[in-house]
Amino acid sequence: MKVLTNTPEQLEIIIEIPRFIVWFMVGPIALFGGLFTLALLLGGEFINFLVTSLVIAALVMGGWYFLTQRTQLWLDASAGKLWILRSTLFDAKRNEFALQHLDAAVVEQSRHGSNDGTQRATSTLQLVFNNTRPATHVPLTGWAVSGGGAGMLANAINDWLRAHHERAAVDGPSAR
Amino acid sequence: MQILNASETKLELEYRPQAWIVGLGLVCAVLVIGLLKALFEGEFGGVAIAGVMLAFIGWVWLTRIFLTVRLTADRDAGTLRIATVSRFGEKFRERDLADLTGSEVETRFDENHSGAEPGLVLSFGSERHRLDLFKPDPADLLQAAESINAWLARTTAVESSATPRQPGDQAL
Repeated sequence: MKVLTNTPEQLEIIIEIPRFIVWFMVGPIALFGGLFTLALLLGGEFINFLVTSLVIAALVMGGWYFLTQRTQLWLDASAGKLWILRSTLFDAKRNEFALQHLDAAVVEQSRHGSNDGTQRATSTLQLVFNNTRPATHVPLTGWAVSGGGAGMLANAINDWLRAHHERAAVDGPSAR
Repeated sequence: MQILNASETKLELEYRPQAWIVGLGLVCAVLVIGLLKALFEGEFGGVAIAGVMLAFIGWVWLTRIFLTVRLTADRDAGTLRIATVSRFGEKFRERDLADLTGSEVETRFDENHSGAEPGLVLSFGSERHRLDLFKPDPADLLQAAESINAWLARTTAVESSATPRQPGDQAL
């Protein structure tokens, strides 16, 4: 999660799980699963080898598909538009909206109980569009994260929007 | 929702819950593997468990998730066609395009767990029709509603320019 560009004209952010964390989560399954299936093959258990390797391949592919999803957000003051680009292993899609319909960015928090009885909070960054009633919340990712990354991005978006609206008010309605 | 075609005369939108299809498809694949292994080894308990789970998840997958909802507005034919395509065939309903007055995103809240459920609503005058989409992305819905409204406005503009106002016409 980081801000790539932050100028009065443009704000560009990217939300993705860092590649080393993806490797950290998927790599051990692939490595130890691969070693385990190799041991099965060397032990002459061909059916077990086949079944286990197919299951591990499905787990690794599924994990890779969901963990490598990436969202990019561009806010462009001069074009008066914002774009959301979501890309996965197989496809990419782009949504385009008028900047005037973006009200704010918010962070939705969920609390989960952990084994030691404490509560852990995870957050999802959402954009709020005010051209519908009630306002429509668009989550930028399919997963939630702990820590302050989502809050940092929401603050960056809201600060940029505030400055944009102030400039638009000073320049007059024709500048929007 | 993906825009397939947005010409002067035709607007085609399509929705398919890609992530859910991939996720549950992988679960079904693992269950098929388990079922085949149990069959091969003659473990009838394993066959029964994997078979029941596969039947249940596979049924949900095929009838609720592996669906394509296609919305086609055709100005030449004057129709709006809403089709749901599944592995078992296609169900569709057609309305007069002239009845379609607009489209909007409406968020309703589940009365059991209060979760937000955004949906695409088509307005036919005072009648509202909410499309039955499985776990739609709100960004896609907003885009779809904007596309439909822009296309309808373009249609109206074309029709207005084709019949120029005459002196004495009532102002709208």
